[in-house]
Parts: sequence; C-alpha cells; structure tokens
Amino acid sequence: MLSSPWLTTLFRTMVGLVFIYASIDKIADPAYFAGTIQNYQLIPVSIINIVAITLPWLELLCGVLLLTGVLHRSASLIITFLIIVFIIAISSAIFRGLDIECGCYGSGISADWKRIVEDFFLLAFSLQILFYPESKLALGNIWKKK
Amino acid sequence: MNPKSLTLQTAIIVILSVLCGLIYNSISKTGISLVHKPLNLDSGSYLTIVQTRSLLTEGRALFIDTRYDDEYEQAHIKNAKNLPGNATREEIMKFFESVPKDRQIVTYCGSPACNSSRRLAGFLTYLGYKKVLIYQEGFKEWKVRNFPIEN
Repeated sequence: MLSSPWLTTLFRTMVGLVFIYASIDKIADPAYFAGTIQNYQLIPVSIINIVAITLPWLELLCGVLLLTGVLHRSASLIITFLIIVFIIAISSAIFRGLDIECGCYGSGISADWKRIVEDFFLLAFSLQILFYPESKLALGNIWKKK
Repeated sequence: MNPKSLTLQTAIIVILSVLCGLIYNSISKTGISLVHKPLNLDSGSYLTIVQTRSLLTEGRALFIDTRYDDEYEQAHIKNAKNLPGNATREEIMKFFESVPKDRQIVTYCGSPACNSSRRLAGFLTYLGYKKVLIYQEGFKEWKVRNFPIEN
C-alpha cells in the first residue's frame, strides 16, 4: 500500500502545492520574511537576509519538481530536511515562550503546535516519496524509459 | 537510484535555488541587502513594520498610540498605551513622569497622513528621551497585516 505509485503521485502533488504556495509570499516580500526569521532568534543576524532571499526559492523549486515529478526524489530529500528544521525551530519557539509568527505561509499565522502537527503530516508524505519514488504521471518518467 | 546521483541532484537543486534567489533579489523592487543591517536606534528614526513587530516581540519597548481615544478603544497594537494627539504638554509630562529617559519608546498613529506620532516623538526627544522611534505607516498597515492587536 505504502509503495503504491499512485500514493506517491498524490503525496508529491500535495506537498508540492503546499511548498509552492508557501514560497510565493516570501519571495514577494523578503524583508518581511527576514524579520520573521529574526524573531526566532536562532541564526546569526549576519546571515538572516541570505536565508530570507534563498530559502523561499528552494521551497518553490522543490515544490515545482515534486508537482511535476522531475527529480522528485532529490526534492523530497531536501524537503524532508527543511521540514525537520522547521519542526525544530517552531518547537524551540514554543519552548522559549516566544509569541511569534510562523513564517510558514502568509502573515499573521503564529508559530504554535498546530504548525508542528501540519509539519509532521508533511514530513510523513515527504518520507513516503523519498522511500517509494516510483510514481505515476511524473514528467521524469518520460526520459527514464528511453 | 544510487546515493551518488541523489547527492548530485540535491546539490544542483540547492545551487540553482540560491542562484535564482540572488538574481531575483538583485532585480526585484522588493530586494533586500545581502547582509542584515542592525536596527538604527537613533532617536526620531522611522521604523518599518518588520522592525516594529520585532520590538513588540522583544517586549522592551513602550508603544504609544497617539490616535483619539475612541479609535484606540476600538483596536490598537497589543500592549500599546493611549496618549491622543490633542493631549496638552502637562498631560504628556504627567504620563511620562515614571518612564525612565532611556526607555525604548515607539509612537504611532493611524497612517503616514497623521502627524501626531511624529509630534509626540519630537516632544519626547525635547524632554530628553533618547530612544524614541516612530512607526510611521501606523495602525492602518498593522491591521492589514493581521498583526497582534487588542481592543
């Protein structure tokens, strides 16, 4: 059941869409995203802007690759790593009692346990893609068969 | 797929994303500097919404809402105190009696069109307050962003 190619197709579509959606607002307003990252007080101030500039593009690219089924195994590896980082960051914010925004998607969404539940679902989907990359309706299948 | 090609593909995706980010940032109107500049805390500086939000999160700053009290009562930035723009000098001085001169203060009003926040900031600087900042975009922008408010 877990190894079904259709399940992989479903999961990579879902995770892909979530990550594309999540990246758009951050790409449009990097200054705002930089402020959100700063509020977590986890990474050195000097690299905050670089992260704010590049991380949304990594999300977007991985999202597109998952959705289209091109190099989706590598994309799911990156996304698995990112989600684990997000879970650690949000947990630490909750643990330190920070009342901050999540920076997940859009503005006004706080970093609370609901985000962690969401992230664990995304993590499970992403791991399924990583371990069972065989997938239907993937553009990557076209040149694999040649 | 062997681990080597997986690593290679992953590296390519990461590098491509970094390049896209840097290129887009350099041509985009909303692009930012590569290195984060620390907050300029000179008295009388204008704050962006992000800086204002950071100060609110840190919880050290005293937020002063200079709109009329009915607007303030409807909704205001979380933990902000109200000191309407039509307050007299005596009222302002009384209000700040117990506030130390090195306290971080943020003033704001409705939008960039109102000037009560700037006026109050000027007067506070005159009184000797060293860290007065102005959130010029004001409550209008704050509310649109869905940032913490209370009524």
